[in-house]
Amino acid sequence: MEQPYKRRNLLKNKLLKRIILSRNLQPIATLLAFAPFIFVAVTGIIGISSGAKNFSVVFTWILWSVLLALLLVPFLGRSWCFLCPIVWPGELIQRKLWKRFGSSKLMNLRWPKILQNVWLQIFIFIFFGIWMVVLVTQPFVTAIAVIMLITGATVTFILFPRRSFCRYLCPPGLFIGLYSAYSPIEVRVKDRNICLTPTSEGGCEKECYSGSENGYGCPWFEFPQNMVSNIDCGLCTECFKTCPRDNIALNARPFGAELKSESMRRKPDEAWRALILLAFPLVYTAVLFGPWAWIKSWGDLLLYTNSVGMVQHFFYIILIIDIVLGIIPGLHLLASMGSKLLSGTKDISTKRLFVNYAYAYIPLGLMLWVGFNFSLLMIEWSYIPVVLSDPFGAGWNLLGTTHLPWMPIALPIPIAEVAFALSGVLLSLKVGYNSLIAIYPNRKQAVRALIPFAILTTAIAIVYVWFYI
Amino acid sequence: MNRHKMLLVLIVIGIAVGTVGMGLAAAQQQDSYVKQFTLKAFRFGFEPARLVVNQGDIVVITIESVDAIHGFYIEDYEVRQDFITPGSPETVSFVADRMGMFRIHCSTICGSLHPFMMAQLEVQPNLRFIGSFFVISGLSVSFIAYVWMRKED
Ligand code: SF4
Ligand code: SF4
Ligand code: SF4
Ligand SMILES: [Cu+2]
Repeated sequence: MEQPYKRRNLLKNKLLKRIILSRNLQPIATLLAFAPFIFVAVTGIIGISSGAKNFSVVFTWILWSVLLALLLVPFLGRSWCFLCPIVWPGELIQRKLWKRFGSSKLMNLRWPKILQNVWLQIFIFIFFGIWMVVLVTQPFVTAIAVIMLITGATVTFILFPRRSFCRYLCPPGLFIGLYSAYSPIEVRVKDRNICLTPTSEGGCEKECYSGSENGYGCPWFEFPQNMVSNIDCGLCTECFKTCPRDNIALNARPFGAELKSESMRRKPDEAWRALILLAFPLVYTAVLFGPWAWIKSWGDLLLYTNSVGMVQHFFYIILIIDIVLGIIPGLHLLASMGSKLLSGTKDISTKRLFVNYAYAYIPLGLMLWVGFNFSLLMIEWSYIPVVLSDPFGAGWNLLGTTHLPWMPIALPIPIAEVAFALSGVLLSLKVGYNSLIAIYPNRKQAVRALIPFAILTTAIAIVYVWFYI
Repeated sequence: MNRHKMLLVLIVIGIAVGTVGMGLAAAQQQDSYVKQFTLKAFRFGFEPARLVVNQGDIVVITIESVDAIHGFYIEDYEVRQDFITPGSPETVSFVADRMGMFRIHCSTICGSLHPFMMAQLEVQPNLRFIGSFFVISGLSVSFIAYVWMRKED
């Protein structure tokens, strides 16, 4: 296969290769990540109920998720999944109780065919997203969520083979996976012809998928030979260990390269994933950073006053679902219809435009997540040293920083938000233009077809920056 | 178009610009330079949720806590007043010298949604200034065009 874009194999570096091939790296990293999450569960349950003073809320929502959105995902894709503690007990049980290497399974039930897409994962994400107001402010709820994820993962790992949980259920995975497509690193085969060599002529036995005595078959149900996207590759490094022909590379590549390549398969469920993940940073910004107190209290399931009850909360849920599943995808549908009209040809269906173009929102969506988290970090960072010094809010002063005052750094926010939104729009339009060029025979049609999408993209960015400048 | 006509057009444009500017300035003339607000702080927001002032105004805000100890902080302006207890309002004042929207936060932990207790201060462009700018420059252009025309006669 000829190279669709520029890439450089990082494993030419001998030291990095040694590290990647080591069997100890992942367990150690996972264990290191597991500890703070257990602490999140403990502090969340027995610590102080005020979120800003409790380790569980501050660590999870001001440190972990911010780190994920600002650094790990944009620069290193699914690197979090490499060391993810959520799956640690499950994967351990699944692997050790069956056999040392080869394929990971315990009960080996079949994942229902109808659920072999990201729809269920999307609904679980929306479910968590709706109660975000409670989740990010209540230590107890954060603790329950962490325990629920670990328990859910463990049960799924026992019943189903490999990382079915990660592929079809995990809510953070919905975010991490999609935006890892934008990151500048990837796992791919070095030379597809080596994979295609028949076994009789010295070719491999597809150990990367089925596993061998050197490691597990791809836990993510990926087949490296055909892999063209990062979205479902957990960077677990198993295929580096199992491929007998040393045919796997860890490549550095330009940002978003795979989105612009034509080999990327476009699927409707992934298109919806991109739209929904574009809508959420807007919703969070409006609800949490907006000036409207009523919407915050209506979204707070645990807050009951004489003006907020079940009816208001129900209205809030409908409102969020409307925006996320109705308004944003609806506007995109309108844009797709407009695009078909403007292009002047009926050859390309609205549905095809809807699905193909949705991938172009990935850079904008990522930038809005980055922006939201950036603002959160700038305003609330000073809670981090406070809870490190007093994780339970019990009056300890381990590091001497318990009484640090709140010190927001507001100055860079407006300019940074404009920069994030602007670069998101430009990068998105570039990806979008590329994808339209690929489906329309001539350039003029592609440009005309781009106009409605460009208007929507710009409008979304403008609504977003309204909350910051 | 001959010179004469061009100057006439210039005069008309100058007067038109001047009139629009005058209108802008006049529209804001009723507004006072000093903007006073009483801001109620409650769990988890402020009332009114948006304060709108003009650039250059002197802004005086009295913050009353309704239900708990709250605080007050404006992004970028760095105006801040912590620990405002119910029953003892605090007053802050400053000159709104920069345009834009600035988020207002509660600065004293007051409960679960405290980190998101926000309001907005909107500092609008100073229409008095912009209007006056157009009046003065528009009329000067007309005047120069007018005398130029006279000289030619
Ligand atoms: S998909 Fe979710 S559970 Fe799986 S490794 Fe990634 S974050 Fe962890
Ligand atoms: S085992 Fe190696 S050579 Fe064989 S298909 Fe997998 S990546 Fe290709
Ligand atoms: S085995 Fe290879 S292709 Fe599969 S998830 Fe791990 S790194 Fe990615
Ligand atoms: Cu408050």
